[in-house]
Amino acid sequence: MSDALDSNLANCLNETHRVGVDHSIKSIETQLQNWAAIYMNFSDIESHHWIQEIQGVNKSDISNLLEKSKYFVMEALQETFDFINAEIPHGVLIPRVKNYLDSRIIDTRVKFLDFADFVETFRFCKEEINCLNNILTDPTIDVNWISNWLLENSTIMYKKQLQNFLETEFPRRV
Amino acid sequence: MGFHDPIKTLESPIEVMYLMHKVFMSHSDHTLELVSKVETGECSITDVKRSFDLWIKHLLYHVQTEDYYMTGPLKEKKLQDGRMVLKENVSEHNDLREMGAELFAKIGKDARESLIEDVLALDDQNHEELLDQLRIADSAIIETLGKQTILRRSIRHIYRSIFDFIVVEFDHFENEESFVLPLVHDQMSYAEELECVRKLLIDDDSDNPTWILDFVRENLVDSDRKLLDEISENFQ
Repeated sequence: MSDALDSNLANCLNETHRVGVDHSIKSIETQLQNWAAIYMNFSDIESHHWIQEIQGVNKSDISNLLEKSKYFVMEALQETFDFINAEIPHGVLIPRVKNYLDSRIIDTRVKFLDFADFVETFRFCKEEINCLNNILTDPTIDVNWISNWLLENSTIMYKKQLQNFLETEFPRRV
Repeated sequence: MGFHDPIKTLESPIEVMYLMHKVFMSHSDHTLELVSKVETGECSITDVKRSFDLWIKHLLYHVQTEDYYMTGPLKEKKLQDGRMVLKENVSEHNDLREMGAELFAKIGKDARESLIEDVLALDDQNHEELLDQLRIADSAIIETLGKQTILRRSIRHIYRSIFDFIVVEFDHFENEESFVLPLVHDQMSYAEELECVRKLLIDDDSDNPTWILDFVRENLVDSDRKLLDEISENFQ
């Protein structure tokens, strides 16, 4: 999931130069909104995991570190939306404004990867498959939408693995 | 994100600045590309540092020389929105110097040290108190995160900082071309413009005075190089 989240932001960055050519700023905004929805699921799931024991370090300090890091991602994303609304009201993206939009997306990506590193290091997950199951069986979530999003945004390394999982666990998904 | 528009002709000597800005931006983009290649092992952080040092060397000389020989002798102009052209230009130069110095320190910093600073920035607590806690917990956290994770983290932070620096550099060059170059053209004679451009391209105080001219020439396409040569042939 974190791989797909990273890959999606990288795609978003590759598409900003197409705004006004064959993409609209709305499509970038929609991509970021979808990203935010998936990110919220990702961060919700991780917060239910145990914090790994590290000798000489308080668990509450690690927990605090994770919470702040998670919050910084949301803050960076909000700044990106605010920027789009304030600076690109008519969907026109001149080079100078595009640079600032890219800068905000890069900032979100960097903060997300920092957070993902902390999660991977400090959160202890015994059953990754169950985690994914928990997300996909959440009644508030459209299974088709989230699984398609994950498939579309996973890198080749994880796509096959995810596809096999979905075919086994959710055969009637599509 | 450089300046890619083709330049067909130079109306006056000061327009050599278009060529210089083009080369500088292209070198900045190249440095950013090097950073993205560090993680894949295609180049090292030493390559990034070397490229960045060259970038800063050129930029510092460029803004310093502009302050003395370009904006220095000009008369101020107020824009319709109230901004003062020359004051803004000098202020942008100072911003570039400041950002460049910060980035220089960041690239030279050990990944482990950067991580501690990042972690400090994450917390609202008293920094001194937290720093003590971190020193105690430091080795445990570093060991848990692992060298590769810390290095990756450091590289992406450097990438973000370099990108932001390029954004500021881009704005500055664009502003200069839009607002300062017309003033130069209006207020300086041909000979004064030529001397200003010579100062920007030739470092009289260096053992190798043509280090800027050579760098710009080497990094231009043939047609642009021809335009540069037509102007530099007139240097006294």
